[in-house]
Amino acid sequence: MEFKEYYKLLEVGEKASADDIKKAYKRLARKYHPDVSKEPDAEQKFKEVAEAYEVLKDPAKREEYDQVRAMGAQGKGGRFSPPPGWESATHFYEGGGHSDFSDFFESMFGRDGGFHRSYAGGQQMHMRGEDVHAELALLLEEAYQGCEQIMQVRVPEVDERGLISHRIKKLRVKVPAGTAEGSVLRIKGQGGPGLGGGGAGDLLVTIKLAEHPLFSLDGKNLTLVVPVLPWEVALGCKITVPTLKGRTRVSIPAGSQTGQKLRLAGQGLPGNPAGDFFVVIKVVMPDNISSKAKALYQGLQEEVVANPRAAWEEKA
Amino acid sequence: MTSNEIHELVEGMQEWSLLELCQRHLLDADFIVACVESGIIEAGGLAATMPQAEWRFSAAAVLRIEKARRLQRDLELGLGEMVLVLDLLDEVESLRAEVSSLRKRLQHWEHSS
Repeated sequence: MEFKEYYKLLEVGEKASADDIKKAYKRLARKYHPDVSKEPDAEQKFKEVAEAYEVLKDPAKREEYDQVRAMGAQGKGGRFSPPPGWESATHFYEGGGHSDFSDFFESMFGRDGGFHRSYAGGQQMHMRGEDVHAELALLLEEAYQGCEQIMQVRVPEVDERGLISHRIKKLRVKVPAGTAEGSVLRIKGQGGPGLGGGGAGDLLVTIKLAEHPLFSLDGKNLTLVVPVLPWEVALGCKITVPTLKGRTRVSIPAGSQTGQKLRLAGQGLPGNPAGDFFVVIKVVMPDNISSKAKALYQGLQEEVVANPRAAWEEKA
Repeated sequence: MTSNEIHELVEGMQEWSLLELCQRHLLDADFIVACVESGIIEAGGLAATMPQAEWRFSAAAVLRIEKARRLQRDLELGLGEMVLVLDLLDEVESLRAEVSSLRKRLQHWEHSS
């Protein structure tokens, strides 16, 4: 396994004081914490920083780490194996914290979890398993119609020694129709295993909707911008527009303006109440016009007396 | 290996009690109570007038309290600071969603010729 250069990861020198280490951790944690950071690889970077801090903040662990480091254990080609007979005097327990420190960390300070958790309940060993979180990205159509998806989820597993490790589990899941962005769904019993006859935890799934090429989404409301020709809005017309349910006919009233919104009540994402579908009118000019058409425009120019910029001119 | 079993995702259906939340999320009851009292999460009703044994937490509340715990632990925040950070993160998230929705709509109106 790879030797971890904890000082480098925390961007401090090997003589750094406890205070410097704490400051460095706080600075890097703010930068890379997955809940606040937009940096690429924030999660991975934060894990490394947290692991380095876990060791360097604790004088006993730091001393052990320094010893192993001084022994040149990082030796051949950067590969690390603990010195023969190595056993840490410190012991690593975590209370619902970081459960995936590196192999390097585990080889030095032991594994977390298992025993701590299994004995935490004293005599009543009966304990339900942990709930596990995952995200599921869907297309708008999939969320609207409901769909089946295969998800890969990282779930904890208890081995024969009672230690917790993780594995990737594939699950075939059914998403109900009308699932909204950010909603949290769950599957019973697909989380971590229970202890002492306690049931398994649940899987909690947060739904993320991908951007749609035509529709923009605002809560449960959908908006579609519809290009129309000048005479279509001048005279009124019926046009066909795509919706999530398929195509539908919409009446554009005569005299409609660009930017005007028409509401198709209840045609947005389902729910209680369901969202609406908005058609926004966008007047567009045809690309190539003939000289005859141009003459007709000239006729319009002479016939229609209007100034769309009147508001500015009054002020000037 | 994918089993052929199909698991149905359900919304809201069940809720967590305070005890379940402690056990299944390895959370400290004092921490959960502090989160409810400071308004970070809701306990399914007027928490102040309900016995704690009747508190019920939704899946969304569960994810939120986990986030609160991560922030508090990893950034070593005090309760007040954590409430502020969560509020600001919520605001950032909703503004980001709004900006992206408005940008998307703007794409349909603006283009260079």
